[in-house]
Amino acid sequence: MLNHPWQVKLIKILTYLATILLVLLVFWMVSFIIIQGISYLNMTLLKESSSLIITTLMVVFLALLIALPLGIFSAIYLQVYTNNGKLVKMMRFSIDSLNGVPSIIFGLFALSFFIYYLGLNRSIFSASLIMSIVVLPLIIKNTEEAIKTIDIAQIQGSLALGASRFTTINRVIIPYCIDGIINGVILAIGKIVGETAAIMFVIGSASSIPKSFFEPGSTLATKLYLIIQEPTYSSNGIGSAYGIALILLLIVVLLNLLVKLVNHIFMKRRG
Amino acid sequence: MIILDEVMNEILLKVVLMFDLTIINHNKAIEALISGDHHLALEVIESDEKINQLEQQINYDVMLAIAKHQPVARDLRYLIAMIKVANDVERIGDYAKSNAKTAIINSDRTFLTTIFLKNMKRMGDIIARLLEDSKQAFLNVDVDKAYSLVREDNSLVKILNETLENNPFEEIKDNNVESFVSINGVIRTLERTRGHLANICEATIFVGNGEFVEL
Amino acid sequence: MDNIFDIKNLNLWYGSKHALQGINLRINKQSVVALIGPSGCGKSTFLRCLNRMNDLIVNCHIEGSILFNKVNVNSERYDEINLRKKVGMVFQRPNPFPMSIYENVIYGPKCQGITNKKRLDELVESSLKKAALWEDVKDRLNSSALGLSGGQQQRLCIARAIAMEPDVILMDEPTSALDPIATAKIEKLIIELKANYTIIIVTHSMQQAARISDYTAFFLMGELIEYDKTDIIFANPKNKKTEDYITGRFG
Repeated sequence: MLNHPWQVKLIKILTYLATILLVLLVFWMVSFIIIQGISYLNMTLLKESSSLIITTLMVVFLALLIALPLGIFSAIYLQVYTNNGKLVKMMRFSIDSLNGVPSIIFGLFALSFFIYYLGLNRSIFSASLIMSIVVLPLIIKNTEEAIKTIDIAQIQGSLALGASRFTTINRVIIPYCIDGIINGVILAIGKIVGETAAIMFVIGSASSIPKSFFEPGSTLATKLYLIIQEPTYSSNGIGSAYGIALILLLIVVLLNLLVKLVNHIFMKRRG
Repeated sequence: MIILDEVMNEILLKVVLMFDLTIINHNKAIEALISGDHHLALEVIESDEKINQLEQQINYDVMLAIAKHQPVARDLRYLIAMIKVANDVERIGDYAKSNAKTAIINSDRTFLTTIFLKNMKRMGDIIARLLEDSKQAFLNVDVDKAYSLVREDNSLVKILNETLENNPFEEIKDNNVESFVSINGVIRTLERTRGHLANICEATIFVGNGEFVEL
Repeated sequence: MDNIFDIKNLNLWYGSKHALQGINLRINKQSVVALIGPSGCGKSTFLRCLNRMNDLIVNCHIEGSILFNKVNVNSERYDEINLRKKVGMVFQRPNPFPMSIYENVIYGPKCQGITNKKRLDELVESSLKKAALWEDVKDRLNSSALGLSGGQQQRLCIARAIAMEPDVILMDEPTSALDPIATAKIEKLIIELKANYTIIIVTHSMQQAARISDYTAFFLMGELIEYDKTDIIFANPKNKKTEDYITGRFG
């Protein structure tokens, strides 16, 4: 197909243009937020945002507390224990479906089920519940991928030496897929930090540092949403929005760097 | 057909050729003993070289076939048998050559009895036939045929015994001692040929069903 | 001669595929038995029945009795982990754990609960010696097993199996991934091991089976066609199919 030199050149130019456009777009978007928000980056903002940051961390912590064990054990079951084809198929279908659900629907579900049906209060706890469901497929997928990188021959070798499945998991599987699990954890954190639509109906809102998980609160993302909707909500108006957005962005960048660092360390260890 | 089949067929051709040349030499030698034809005897002595060469080639070819193709079971038995059979046939060829030499030394055979000459011809013919039959049996790995050839051997024994009972010579002269010894040699070669024919049949049976038998 | 394995009417299905059909076989103690046959004939499947590794495969159904020292191990009530302590296995590709050589060898004993350091040290030394690997690695027991050559890794896997002090060692084409020199070393090792263990080896090499085994079993399309002393199988087999296979005239 690409026989004529002018066709080759055309493709080359098009791809260059697309890349430059993309880079410019991202650059513009980020710098816009930075420029707008940098002026608000002061101690007051940080003091105000401290409660937001802490609330966000609480949601992350509780959601992971629920999703990690559930996700890791599910992944191990799917990879190591399965003899039953039907059950596996059912599980996989459920997990894949969950992955594709838009977060606003999670939000609707959380509202209907946790708040209306179960009668829970709007709180960090409720937000963590729905977030654990949201990130569960992520954890399972990452853990499964990590387990898959282990050569089946290693698992067979361990079993052939008279080790139980439990021992094999402990001594052959888990130590060598920790890095994959950590990868999944970091991705999950990124997702939770940035999630708005799923939790905004069930987390309520607050301006001070929450004293327990069962109080309502505001995360960075939900507060940002509220300010944008109603600029009078915050002392600085839309300015604080940019400030918060900047903090959020910084956290995301830091997390990405962390992922790269972790991968690098474990890559070196694998040899 | 695998490669080994072609290789073995090539070697078998040489075995067959050895048999044919040996049968010819054997017949010529007997004829020379009876008729005193020097030329016939010389032909035998000359062509024996070819028979020896063939045996060496067969040994070499079999060795290569075993090294390269790692034969097992019947293939292996057949290849080993080819070496043994080639060896037996070569000995028979040697006997023909020695009989031819005897024929030259005893060109004056007027003193040999007619009965002796007749018996020798009969034995020579039977042996020639046995050689041809055992060649076929080996070529086709015909175990039944190999067993049946033993029965034919019995008629050979009868004639042999007859011959041994009677004096081959018409009258005793002074120079007869040398002739006597060499004529005895001829009878001995025919006896030994019997032994080698038995070996050939045993080899055929070995190839066919893997058993070692004594015939 | 004592039978260590007595297999009666063994049948195996992968889903609807009847992979092993009515196998009957008796294996003598302290002998080397070779399993030969074309690809897909069921020899590896049969081998895996002997230490119940087929239990791991989805949709695998096994019927028939496998008597190991007169006890039927092919039953739900028999603990397969117990079986694998006495029936070890070495795989086609060497599969040492990404740990040190020392840790590889003691993996099995540790799973059994042996923690005494002195005992473990002795076990490591004796197993590596029996696997003809001790001299090569005695100065670097704590280095990674992955640093060994293919042939050494395979001998490590054998040492690992020996450390369990099994009665039987199953080998599934143990030398097919190795070069001729490493192969020769392992073949020599197998003949030495025969004095203390029963060895059942699947091999696709006729010559290997002929060289090292006392008995040979020929499998074809899930059936056991012939089982006899190796000398007989290779000098004068009784079944024409066996002869056709070993002389390469198959198919």
